[in-house]
Amino acid sequence: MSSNPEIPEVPVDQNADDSKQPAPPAGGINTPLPRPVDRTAVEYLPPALSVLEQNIHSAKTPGEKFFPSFAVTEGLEEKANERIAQYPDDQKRSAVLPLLHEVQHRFGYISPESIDWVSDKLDIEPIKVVEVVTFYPGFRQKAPGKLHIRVCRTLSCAMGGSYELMDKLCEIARIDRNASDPHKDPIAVSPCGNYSVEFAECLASCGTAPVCLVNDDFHEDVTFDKAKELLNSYQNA
Amino acid sequence: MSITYEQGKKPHPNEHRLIFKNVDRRGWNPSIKRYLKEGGYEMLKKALRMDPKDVINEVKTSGLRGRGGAGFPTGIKWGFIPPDNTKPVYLICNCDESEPGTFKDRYIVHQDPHQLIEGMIISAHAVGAHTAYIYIREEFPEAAITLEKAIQEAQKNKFLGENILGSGFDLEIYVHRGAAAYICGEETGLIESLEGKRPYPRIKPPYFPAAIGLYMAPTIVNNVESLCHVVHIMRMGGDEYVKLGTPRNSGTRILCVSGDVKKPGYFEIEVGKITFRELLYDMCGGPKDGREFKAVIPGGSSSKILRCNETFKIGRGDDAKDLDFWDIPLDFDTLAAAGSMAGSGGVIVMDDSRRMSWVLNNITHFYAHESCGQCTPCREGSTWMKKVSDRIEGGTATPTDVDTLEQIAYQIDGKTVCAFGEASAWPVEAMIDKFRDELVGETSEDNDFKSKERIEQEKFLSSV
Ligand SMILES: Cc1cc2nc3c(=O)[nH]c(=O)nc-3n(C[C@H](O)[C@H](O)[C@H](O)COP(=O)(O)O)c2cc1C
Ligand code: SF4
Ligand code: FES
Repeated sequence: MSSNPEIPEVPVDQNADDSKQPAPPAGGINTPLPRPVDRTAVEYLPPALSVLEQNIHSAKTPGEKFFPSFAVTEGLEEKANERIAQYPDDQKRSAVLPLLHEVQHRFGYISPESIDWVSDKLDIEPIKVVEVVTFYPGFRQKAPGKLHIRVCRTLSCAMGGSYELMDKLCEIARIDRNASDPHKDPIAVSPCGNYSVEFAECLASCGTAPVCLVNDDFHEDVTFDKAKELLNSYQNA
Repeated sequence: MSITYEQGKKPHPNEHRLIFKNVDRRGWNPSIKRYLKEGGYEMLKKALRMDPKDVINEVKTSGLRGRGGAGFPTGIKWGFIPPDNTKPVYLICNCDESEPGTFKDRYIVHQDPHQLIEGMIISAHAVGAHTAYIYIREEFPEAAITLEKAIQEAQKNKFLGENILGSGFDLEIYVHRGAAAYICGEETGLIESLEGKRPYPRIKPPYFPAAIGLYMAPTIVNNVESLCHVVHIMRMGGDEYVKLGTPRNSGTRILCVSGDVKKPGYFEIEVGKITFRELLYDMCGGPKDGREFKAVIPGGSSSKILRCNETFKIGRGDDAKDLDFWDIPLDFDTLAAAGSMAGSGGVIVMDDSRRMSWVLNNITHFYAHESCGQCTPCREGSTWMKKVSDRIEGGTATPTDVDTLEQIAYQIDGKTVCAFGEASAWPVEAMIDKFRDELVGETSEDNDFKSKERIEQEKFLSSV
């Protein structure tokens, strides 16, 4: 828990000051489950989210300002229906990944609200969406930077200097990758919110190592001395 | 009409280009117009006039072996669909391309999508599938768009949809994007992922999804490159195709070379017609200046590493002969006989500047990150291997740690739900087997650490 200081407090003691409690969101997976009052826990341990809540929680990041908050628009509905139609009528669940991609593409990350929406759309329990979101490294649950940079760390790229590239990018963007546990939280966002970095596994272009993805753009032969140039090329974007 | 290629991208004279004919080609683009100008979709017309059984027979005659990693004969796999099947049949193109060191499907789906689509329609016709999916890794966002556009173009030209070219055959192809998980390349993990679940590979048997696959219906999963070969088999005929390459290793395949060579890249060669010497010295320009080759991973990071100064005993009994590493022909069978595998064709080269503990550590991190976590030996073992190799690489290990690491590896392979277990254990086993001295050389007895618990324990364990 201590590795993620941004998780908000959730009241455990029913007798505590009500005014501090966030209003429970309506319905679906966001509704906090009633939990037994454990006074020893209140006194000695920091208040914590339940495991379920931790798993759907979206931490605040400086990148948030670049993404609209989740809303079901006509465009989204239309795209979602198109995707669902790709699968047999009784196999709507197959559209989980495509729908989550649509959400992440528009809103930057998978929020608790969007999990509810996807599960409604596909007539499946929210947990079946959560298990997918929490498994695949391709889905993130907090806003990345305006430019999200994924540097390949696998063998050929590492031999070509991708760790050095990562260090250089972090230096330029003032990102401290050690601030959080990379296993729990692989994405590090710069304080200004313009950049975020993450290590990726082999991006299938080992012959042109080191390589990286900036949002959806692929870049090859990015040795560390080209880091500045790479970021500058997005200056007017 | 002679074909010219972009500056500096000219194929090496040793190459034999079928699949990559249009990659880096001057004046080429991924549109259907360009593809049709080159006689594209003619093989589809030919195949649609044939009985599906005859198409399967051509592929069987061709001897085509899957290019996704296992090298299983494609025609035979197609024949595994139960004859009394009443369910729909599905065809899935495996475009997950995530085996470290492999970068061939990338160029097909970015530059020549119609070759793949034509191959898929012919294959679907052969196996009787009316719905096909291209499972493409999330990290190919541009290719996903290119493919969807190509599918639309093919629909407009009546190569897809209902009653294709008046043959009575119907087919729809859809693109399904993954989400950056290596295990989705394993065919049953892929199927689970396509069903909208976590990609936990399925327990075998059935050994092939051709019996029970997507939505519990017969499903054929083939690699991108394999499906493209089908077009060329139709064009040449199985009998001609089988003459390419060497016996039991027919056709061409794309080798991807990365790491410490002067000119890394992709090379389409006749299977078995090129040796390591020709590949690494003639085609890749040899080692970097002042360096020597040390070790080679021949078929993606899951294959066993080979030392460049090794000699192998190939064959049995009287046929046995010594084969120098440099003389190994790059085919499925010789590499298997040398104790490794041709796998996905990803050749990763290391020169004498590389510390093997560092290489090993990079690989164990990959597998610890990518284990799906479903079965204990793999989930726990991959993490332990990462931790022990962290110590070896960091110089804080004891000599017995190398033995511990080896033991962990041998307790994974053969004991897991899917072949990821072998994929993660083999590189470790081979690395220790081939470079034990170097690894042990980085350890020290002085690093032996006794925790309080261990000291307490030993009080009771010591002999009386
Ligand atoms: C851990 C693991 C990862 C795999 N990754 C891929 C992959 O990225 N691409 C691929 O085509 N096959 C991959 N395979 C092989 C597939 O399971 C399957 O054998 C292949 O797609 C069959 O196609 P083919 O017969 O045309 O080779 C992988 C297998 C395993 C065990
Ligand atoms: S071997 Fe590893 S990847 Fe395969 S099912 Fe077991 S845990 Fe998952
Ligand atoms: S190792 Fe980086 S692309 Fe393969």
